[in-house]
Amino acid sequence: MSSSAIRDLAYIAVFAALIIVFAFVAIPVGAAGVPIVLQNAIIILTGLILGGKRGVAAALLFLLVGLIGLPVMAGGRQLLPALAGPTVGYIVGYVISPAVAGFLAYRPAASRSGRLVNLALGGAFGLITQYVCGAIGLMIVTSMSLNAAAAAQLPFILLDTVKICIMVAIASGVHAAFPALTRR
Amino acid sequence: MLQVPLGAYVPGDTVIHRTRPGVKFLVLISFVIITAVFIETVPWALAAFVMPLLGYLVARIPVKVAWTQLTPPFPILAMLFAFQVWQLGWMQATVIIVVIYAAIAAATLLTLTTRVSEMMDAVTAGLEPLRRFGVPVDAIALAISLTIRLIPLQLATVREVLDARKARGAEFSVRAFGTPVVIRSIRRAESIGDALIARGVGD
Repeated sequence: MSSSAIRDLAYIAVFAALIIVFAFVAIPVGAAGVPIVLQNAIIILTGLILGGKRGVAAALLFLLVGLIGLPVMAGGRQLLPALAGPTVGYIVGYVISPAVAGFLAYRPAASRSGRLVNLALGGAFGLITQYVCGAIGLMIVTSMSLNAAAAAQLPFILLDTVKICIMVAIASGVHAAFPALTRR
Repeated sequence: MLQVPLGAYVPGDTVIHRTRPGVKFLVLISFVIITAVFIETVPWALAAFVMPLLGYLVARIPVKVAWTQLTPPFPILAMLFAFQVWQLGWMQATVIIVVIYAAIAAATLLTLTTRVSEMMDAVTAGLEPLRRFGVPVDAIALAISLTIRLIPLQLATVREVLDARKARGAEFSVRAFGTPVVIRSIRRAESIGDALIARGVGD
């Protein structure tokens, strides 16, 4: 293995572990300390930070660890029951969305605001990808109609949009701190 | 703050425990596909559900464990059921939900009766044929081991940042939590990469 491949492997493993940790950690937000589940947003963040190829590798690695038997799904759930259940489409979306987010985020940008636009587009389309995959999964597994499956996504849009905005802000700060990330 | 539970294995020496993970996995996939494609009536759906339940009996899974593992899907399945009753009628809704739940129960049984180490061996053995297509099997095995080892480290990082955020009174900011976690993660990855290279991994 080349040096850069080994470094990439370290990035991929660290972010896969981070995705898994957010299956257990719900971050208290606000004075009331309402816990917010962040795992789907962290997967998109992984794509924004590591780029498409490494982001997908991190997502696949996290699913591989789940396949082995560790509880990696949000709430400390197992992967196999989730794959057999109605939310299987979202899990497929977990693999595709970092590719979409990473591809858009890593496009060349001439300015700071251009980079921010790329990150925002990456976050938005990453989230849309998860919804599309989730809806398709619902249609296949539960025989829902297209309209019904699309409607099932509506309750999550507002909160997820807020999460993605925060992920874009985080990714923007991180890329400012580590410019070399995008050059690997 | 939760501790990371590393797996849900229930120790035992029943015939299901002793079956090789690859075999169990193939049986699970066959069960899920056959039930999804062929079952269209309530009696057959209930029969499909009874099969994994019998598996739980054979494997001697304690009722408490089975309950803990099998109740989380209830809320989402209840919502789907209500919706499908409205859309498709009672009979079809019942068939769909019972078949899905049978699949979930069967998948959970596999997880409960297979050690993580056995599953790791099965997964790497399963990846072995892909080596000839250029898939870096050794790197994947290393990455899996690294990830498992990194989970408690990443959890500790998250905890430290949460505590630091609380100490600073920055309760409302997810960004004040997220940015340091990610920056620390990247630094950890860089250190690990350098250490692996210095130790001659991949030479």
